[in-house]
Amino acid sequence: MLKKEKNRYWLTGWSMVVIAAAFVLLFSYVPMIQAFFLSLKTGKGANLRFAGLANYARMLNDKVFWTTLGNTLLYAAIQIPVMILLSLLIAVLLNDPKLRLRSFYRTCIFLPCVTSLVSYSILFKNLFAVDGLVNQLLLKLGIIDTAISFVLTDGWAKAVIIIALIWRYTGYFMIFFLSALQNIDQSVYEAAKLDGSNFLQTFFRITMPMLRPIVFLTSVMALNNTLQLFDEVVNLTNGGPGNATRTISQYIYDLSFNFVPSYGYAAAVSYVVLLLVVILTIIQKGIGREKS
Amino acid sequence: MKVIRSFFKNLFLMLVSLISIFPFYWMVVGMTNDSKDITMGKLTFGSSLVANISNAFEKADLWRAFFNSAVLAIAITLLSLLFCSVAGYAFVVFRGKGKEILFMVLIASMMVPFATKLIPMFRMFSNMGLLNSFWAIILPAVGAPFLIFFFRQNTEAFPRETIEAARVDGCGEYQIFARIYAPMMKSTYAAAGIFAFMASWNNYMWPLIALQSNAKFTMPLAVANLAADFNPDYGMIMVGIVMSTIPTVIVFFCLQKAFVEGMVGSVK
Amino acid sequence: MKKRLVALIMMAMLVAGAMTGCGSNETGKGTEAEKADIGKQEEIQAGTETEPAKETAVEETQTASGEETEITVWAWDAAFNGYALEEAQKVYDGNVKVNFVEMAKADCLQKIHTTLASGVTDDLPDVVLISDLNAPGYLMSYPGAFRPMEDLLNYDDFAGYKKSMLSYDGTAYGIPFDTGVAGLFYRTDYIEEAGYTAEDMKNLTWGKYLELGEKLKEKGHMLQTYNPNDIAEFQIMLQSAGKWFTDENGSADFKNNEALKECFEIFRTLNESDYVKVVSDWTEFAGAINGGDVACVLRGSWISSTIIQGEDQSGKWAVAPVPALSVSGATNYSNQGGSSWFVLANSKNSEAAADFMAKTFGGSTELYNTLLGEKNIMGTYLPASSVEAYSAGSDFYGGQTVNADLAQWLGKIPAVATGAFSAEAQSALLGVMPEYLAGGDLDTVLEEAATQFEQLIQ
Repeated sequence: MLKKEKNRYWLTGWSMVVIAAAFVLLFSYVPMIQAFFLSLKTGKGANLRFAGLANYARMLNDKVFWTTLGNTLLYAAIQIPVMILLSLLIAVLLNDPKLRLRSFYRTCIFLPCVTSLVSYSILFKNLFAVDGLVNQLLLKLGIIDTAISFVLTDGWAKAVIIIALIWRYTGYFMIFFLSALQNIDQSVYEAAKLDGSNFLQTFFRITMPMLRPIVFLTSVMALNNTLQLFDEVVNLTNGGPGNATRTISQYIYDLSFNFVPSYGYAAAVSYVVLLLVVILTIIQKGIGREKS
Repeated sequence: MKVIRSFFKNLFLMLVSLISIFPFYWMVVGMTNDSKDITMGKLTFGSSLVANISNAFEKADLWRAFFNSAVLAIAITLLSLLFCSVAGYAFVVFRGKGKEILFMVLIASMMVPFATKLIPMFRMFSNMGLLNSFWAIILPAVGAPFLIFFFRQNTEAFPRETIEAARVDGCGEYQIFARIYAPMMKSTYAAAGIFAFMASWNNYMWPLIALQSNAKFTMPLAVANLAADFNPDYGMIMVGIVMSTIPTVIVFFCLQKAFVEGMVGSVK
Repeated sequence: MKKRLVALIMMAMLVAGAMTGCGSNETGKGTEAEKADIGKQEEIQAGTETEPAKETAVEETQTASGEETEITVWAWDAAFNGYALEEAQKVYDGNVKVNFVEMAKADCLQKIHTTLASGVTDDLPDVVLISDLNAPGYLMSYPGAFRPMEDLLNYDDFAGYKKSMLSYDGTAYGIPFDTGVAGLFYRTDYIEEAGYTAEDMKNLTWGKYLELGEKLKEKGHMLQTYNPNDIAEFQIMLQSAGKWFTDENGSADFKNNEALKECFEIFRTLNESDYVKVVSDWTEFAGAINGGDVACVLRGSWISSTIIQGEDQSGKWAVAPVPALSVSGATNYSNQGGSSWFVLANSKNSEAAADFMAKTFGGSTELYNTLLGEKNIMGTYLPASSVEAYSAGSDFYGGQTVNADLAQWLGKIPAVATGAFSAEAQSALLGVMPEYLAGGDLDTVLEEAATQFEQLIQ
C-alpha cells in the first residue's frame, strides 16, 4: 500500500515535468549535440573533416577570441551587479501599496525593454555623438574642455554599451522582483513593523531571504543575456573601434556568417562559452548557499 | 521626516521614469517626423505622420505580419505557460535527485548561443517537412527552460502547508496545481506571461531562417524589411516599430494589475 | 478541477488550430502543397493591391500555354533588386513567375549560408543574390551548390573585373548584375570657392586631393567624412591600383603591398587632419552629405541614390574619376560593391531559372535600358552601354552625362582576384587600426594583422 502510494507520487512528479522536458530535449539538445560533433571538425563551409580537439586548441592562440571574451566578461562584471541592485531597489520602492502613481512609474520603467533597438540605437548615437547632447552638456558644465568621440574611443565606447544595457534591462529585471515580492505574505511585514524594525532591517531580514531564489534566477539570466549579447553592440558600435567592444556572441556570428564560415570553430567557441556559464553558475549557487 | 523620505523616493522614481520613457517618447515623436529630422535628432512632433503611415503600409504588408506574430505569440505564450509552470512546480514539490539533474540539464540548454543551433535545427525542421509553417516556430518555443526556471524559483516561496492541507482534504495532485497553486501564483503567471509574450513577439533569428515566404513573415521581419532599403526612411520605419511595440505594452499593462493584487486566495 | 486544465489545453489547441486556417498545413505533410498555397495567396494579394501587378498577372495567364514555372528568388531591397526582377519578367517570353522573397541584406546572406550548410535540397530557392565580395566565399564553402553559367552566358559581354569576382577554381558562376563603379562625387560650389575647377578634379592624385582639403578648410568646408572604424575606402583605393588585401593564392598581401601601405598612410593623415567630418555610422555619414557638411564623397556609384536625396543641392554636384595612388599600376578607376545573381544547382526549378536569368540579366539590352532609364540601376552588361538612357544629362549633376561617364570608367576598372577572404582581411586590418592611429609603426602593425588574418582563415 505504502509502496503503491510512493510509486504514484513518483509517477505524478515525473508526469508533470515530462512534456516540457521532452520539448527542450528534442528541440534544444538534439541540435546542441549535433553542434558538439560539429565542434570536432575543421574546414570551411560544407568542406568539413574530423580533427579532434583542433578547434579547441586553436582558441588558445586566437587573439580575437580572448579579446571578445574579455570584453564580454567585463560587461558582465560591471553591468550585472549594478542592474540587479537597481532593479531590486526600484521593485522594493514600487512594492509599497501606499505609494501613489506606482502604476505610472512601473509602466515607465518597463518601457525601455520594449523600445525597439533600431530606434534607441539611433537616439543613443545621437546623444553620444561628437556634437551630441551629452558632449554639449559636459562642455557647458565645464567638466571637459574638448568634445569626446564616445563611440570611437575604446573606454568610452565600452561605457556607452554598459549604460545602454543598464538602461534597457533594468525594467525587465524589475518585473522578476516585483512578481516575487507579491508572493511574500504581507502579514510578515506587519509583524516586523510591530517589532519596531525599520526599512533596512525588514529589507535584510525578511525581503532578501525570501527573494534569494529570485536573485539567483536573475543573476543567472543576466549572465546568460550578457554572454549572448549581440544586437546592442552591432547597432551601437559594430564592435569597434578595432575589436574594443566586440562580444563573444558577435564573434561566433562573424565566424559563422560574416567570414567564410568556420562552423566547427564557431561551435567550439560556443561550447567554451557554455562551459564558462556553467562554472560561473555553480560558483553563484555556491555563494548563495554559503549565505543562507 | 516621513514627508522628506517620501519626497526623495518620488523624486528618484520620477527621475528613473523620465530617463526610461525618453527614448520611447522619441520613438513616438519619430513616427511624425521625416527621415532627415529623425537622424538629426529632432525632439518635437512633426507633420509627416500620415505620409509615414501610408509609406509603411505600402512597402510592407504590416497587417499580415502583425496577425502572424499575434497568432504565434498567443499560442506560444499559452502553451509554454501551461507546460513550463507544471514542470517548474513539480521540480520543487516533487523534488528528487533525478529531477535536480534534469533541471540543470534543461537550464544549460539556454546558454548555448542560438547561432550555433541554427544549422542543425534548420536541417531537423526541413526533414520533418515543417519549414515555412508556424509549427516550426511554435514547437521549439513550447519548452522554455527559462520559464521552467522562473516557476521553479517562485515556487520555492510557496507555502508547503497549503499543499499538505489540500492533500489531507483528498485533492489529487493535478487538482492541487490547477485549483490552489495556479490561482495563488497569479502575479508569477502574469510576469511569466509578459516574458513569454515578449520573447515570442521579438523572436528574430529563427523565424527569419525557418519561414520561407514573405506572406508568413512576422512583425520583426517585416520591420527589418522596412529598414533594409539602401536609404532607410526612418519616419516609415518608426511607424512599423511603434506598431510592433504596442502589443507588448498592452500585454504589460493588462497583466501588471496582478502585481497589485498579490497573492490571491492565500489561506492564511 | 481537471476540467479546467482540460479547458486550458483545449483553448491552447484551438489557437494552434486556428493557424491551420491561415496557410499552414497538417504536420508532416511536406512543403510542396504549402508552397502552392502560398503562391496562390500572393497572387491574389498582388492582384488586388497594385495595378501594374494585376496587368502582369493577366498577361501571364494569357500567354500561358503550358505549366507556369515558379522561380523563387531570395534578395534584398525590393525597390532595386525586386524592381529589376519584375522588369526581367516582362522581357522574358517563357512562362515563369518570380516569387521574390525580400530580406534585409545581412539576413539574406545569413539565410543562404544556413540553408546551404544544412545540406538539404527540399527547401532551396532557385536564385539568390550575393554581394560580389562575399561570392567567392560561398563558392568555396559549398562545392556543387551553385550552377556554373559558362554554358549559357558569354562572360566577355560583362565588365572584365566582374568575372574574376564570380569565379572559383577557374569556373565562372553567377549572372553579373549591378556595378559599384567608383566615383569621386563632389560639390561644384565648394571646390570653386577653394579655387579648383572641374578640370582639376578629373585626374586627381591623393596628394592633390588632400591639398584640396586644406584649402576647403580655409573656406569653412570639410573635405569628406572619416570613420576610423570603417576601411571601405581601402577597397576603392586598392582596386584602382590593381591590388587587393590578398594575393592570387588568397594569402594576406599586407607587408609588401605598397598600395595598402599608402592607404594606411592616407588614413592616418585624415585622422590627424582638421578637414574631415568624423562620423561613426551610416546615418551620420548620410547626414553629413545631405546636410552640406562635406565637399566630396568617394564611393561606388550606388551612393548617388543617397546624394540625390538632398534635393536642395540639385545642380551643385558632379562626379569625377577617383584619385590615383602614387604606386605603380595606379589608375583613376575602381569599384566598390555590386552584386550578382546565382542559380542553385539542386533547386526545384534550377534549369528554368538559369534560362530565365541568362536571357534577361545575361542578354537583354532592353532590360538594362529600362532599369537605367527608370530607376538609375546600372548593370555591368557591356552591350547595353550604348543604349539611349546613358546619354541623358542629369539635372541634379548640373547637366553632366553621369551615366555615360560611369559606363566609360566601368570598362577600365582593373580586375583583381578578390579571393574568398576579403572580410577576414578587413577585420584583421581594422583590429590593428587603433594601434596604428595611436602612432604605431606601420610594418609592425601590418605584421600583427597578418598573424590575425592567418588565425581567422584557418
